[in-house]
Amino acid sequence: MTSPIISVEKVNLLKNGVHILKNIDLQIYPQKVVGIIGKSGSGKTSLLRTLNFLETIDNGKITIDGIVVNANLLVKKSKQRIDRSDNPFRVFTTENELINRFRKEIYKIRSKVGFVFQELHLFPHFSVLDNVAQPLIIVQKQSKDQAVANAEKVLEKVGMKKYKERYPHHLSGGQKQRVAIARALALQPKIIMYDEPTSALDPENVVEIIEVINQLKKDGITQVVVSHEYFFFRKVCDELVYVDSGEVIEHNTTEEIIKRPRDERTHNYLKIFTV
Amino acid sequence: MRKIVLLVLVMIQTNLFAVEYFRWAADAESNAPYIFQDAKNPSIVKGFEYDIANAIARRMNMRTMHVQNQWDGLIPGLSRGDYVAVINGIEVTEDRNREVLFSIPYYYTFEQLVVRTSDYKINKLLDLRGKAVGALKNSLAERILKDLDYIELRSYEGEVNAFEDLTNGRIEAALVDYPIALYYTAIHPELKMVGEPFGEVIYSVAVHPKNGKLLERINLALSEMIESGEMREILEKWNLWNPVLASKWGDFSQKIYPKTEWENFVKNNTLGVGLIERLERYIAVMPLFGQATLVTLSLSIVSMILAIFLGTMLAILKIFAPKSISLAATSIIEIIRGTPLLIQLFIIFYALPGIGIKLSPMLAAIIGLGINYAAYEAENYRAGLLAIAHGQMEAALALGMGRRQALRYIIIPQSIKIVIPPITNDFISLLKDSSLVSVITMVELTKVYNQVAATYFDYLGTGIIVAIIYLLIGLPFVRLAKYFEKRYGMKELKTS
Repeated sequence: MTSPIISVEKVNLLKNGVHILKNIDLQIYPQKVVGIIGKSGSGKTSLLRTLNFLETIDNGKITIDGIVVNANLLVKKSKQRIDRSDNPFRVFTTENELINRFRKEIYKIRSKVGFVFQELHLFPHFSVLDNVAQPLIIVQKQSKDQAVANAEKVLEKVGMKKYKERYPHHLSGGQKQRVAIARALALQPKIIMYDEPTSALDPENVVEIIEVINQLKKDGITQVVVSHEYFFFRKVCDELVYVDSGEVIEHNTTEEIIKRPRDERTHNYLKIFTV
Repeated sequence: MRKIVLLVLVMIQTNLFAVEYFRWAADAESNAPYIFQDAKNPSIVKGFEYDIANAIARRMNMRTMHVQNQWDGLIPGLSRGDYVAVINGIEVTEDRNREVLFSIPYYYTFEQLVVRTSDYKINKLLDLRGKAVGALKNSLAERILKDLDYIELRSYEGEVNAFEDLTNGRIEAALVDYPIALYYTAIHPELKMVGEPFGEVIYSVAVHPKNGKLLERINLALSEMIESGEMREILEKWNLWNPVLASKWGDFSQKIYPKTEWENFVKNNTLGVGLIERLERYIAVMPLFGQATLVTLSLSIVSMILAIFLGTMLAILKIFAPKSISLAATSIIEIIRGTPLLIQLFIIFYALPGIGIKLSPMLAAIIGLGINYAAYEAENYRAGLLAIAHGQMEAALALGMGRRQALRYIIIPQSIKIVIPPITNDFISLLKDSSLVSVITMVELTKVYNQVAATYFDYLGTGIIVAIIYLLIGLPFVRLAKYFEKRYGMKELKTS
């Protein structure tokens, strides 16, 4: 068997004194679609954000596509993350030790990982085309023509090319979702992560997203999806990871988890959907 | 031999002095007959003190140069060295004697009571029991009234303000120096002088305490002028010769002198000016207003550019710099926002020279306004940056952008639209606040308004003109802002 593309070892995350993730161990193998499921507040979104270093772990080791970020190497300091809610940028300032120490690694990892936010966060001042093309120009230093060509290719793939001149606020929820995916995809990542991709979608749009994910799977992209929509994760995921109270309770194939959950908590959670 | 060398040196020096300027200061808002703008041609400054200053300069072999400064700032300005003397109805008082050197007096006068012409009940101070009486701030008249506990004292920035309140019935009398009472009542039949003159007011030239040499020369010039009768000639011309002067200077001759300036003044300012004449006046002052508008406009634009630049720096430091620097930026912003602009201007202009930083009035004004507004801009930009959702930054980072790239391409372009309206507001507000810089000798729009209004005693008409000018110069910037808003607004900012 091949080695995992994502490997998480003994990762802990504290936020404002709350233990969000507890001793997480997780291996994800290439070209799989892995669903992270669990109740709200269980830490599933935090786990996903941790994989892209949008949360900075307190200890543990994350290896993504061979690049290692080992928080255990940091000088242990009592971590005082004061929540400065008036300043959302503070988290990204020089105060952040982990990001400083592993800046290069983190940028490298981010270049391999596409991230689709629950709220999408499309750039409202850019057209659909620019939302996809600008990051290519800014991050990958592509020429404008090259970036536009690549962006159009990706927009074509998600069926959004005909809307390329529009601005995000003129799009429907499903269209925005597809632009967000296109934006992540354009950077040619090996992995794409989705945070609750179906939460704002109508059922017919959910089907479209499933098609996109299946298509990307065929293209060889590893995908990690946080979801609490039974129909969706059962349909799209190869494996499921059940998270509860910041711990990975169970990780198995979708079929196994759904048909034969080993832990009572998993069983109880899935019961909600089947009643 | 030595004497010859000395003589040559002296000659060289006098030669040098011949091209030297006698830089003296006065506020051209002081009204007739002190220093004022000619009603026929407001770009010409005149007045009996203007004539005296010129005569002094001539006797010292110097060319004269009048420096404009706000009356309040005349004495403080001496220590800055922008001018060497103040000749502007400065009364010799003990307090001032400690701050400056005074020349021998060039004029003696007295206090004069002024009341409404229709008022026959008030003829002396005692008649004013329990009534409101106006006087100029920091004048002998004010000190006299303060000692009279039976009247209600009202202090005014200028005598004209007191006269207007008197005309309008807000006060019952005004106690002022005789010359201004004489000139004002001459052209305002609704007011009259009553009662005996009293008190003694002495006007002298003020120079810097370390400038004893100059003082000697001024004293010499003054005594020559008094001796030769030139002084009397000047004062007679302005109808200001009085018995006190005659006895002080021992000049009792009954010679008749021409009173040309007095007659001109009365003729040029007789009331009931027709509409056409009024319009002619307004047209005549337009070049003055034009010049002042340029000053106001260039001052405001340069200050705003400085404010935007410094404000951006402060905002970025406040948000992104390490804690200590961020805290410093916050403190700077709060200190600047929390103290009056006027005080800041005074400190920059009058206090900084004390530690060796002497800025020109224009530079001081630009820095003062620029720094003050930078604090407000910083807060605008901070709000603008913070308004761009946290998610935008995360999205940019997740796409592999660095923090700087995210700021430059994602956050700042979105912030610009948010901050354009407040920047426009601030600029309009700065345009108006720029009127404060008249306290540091800048002659800008509001200063010229005051001067012109004081010349014609026409505060309403001139006021409307100046208000229109402010409005007009502000409008293009509002339009410009609209244009920018539209440009950035095409890509409407809604969270997607």
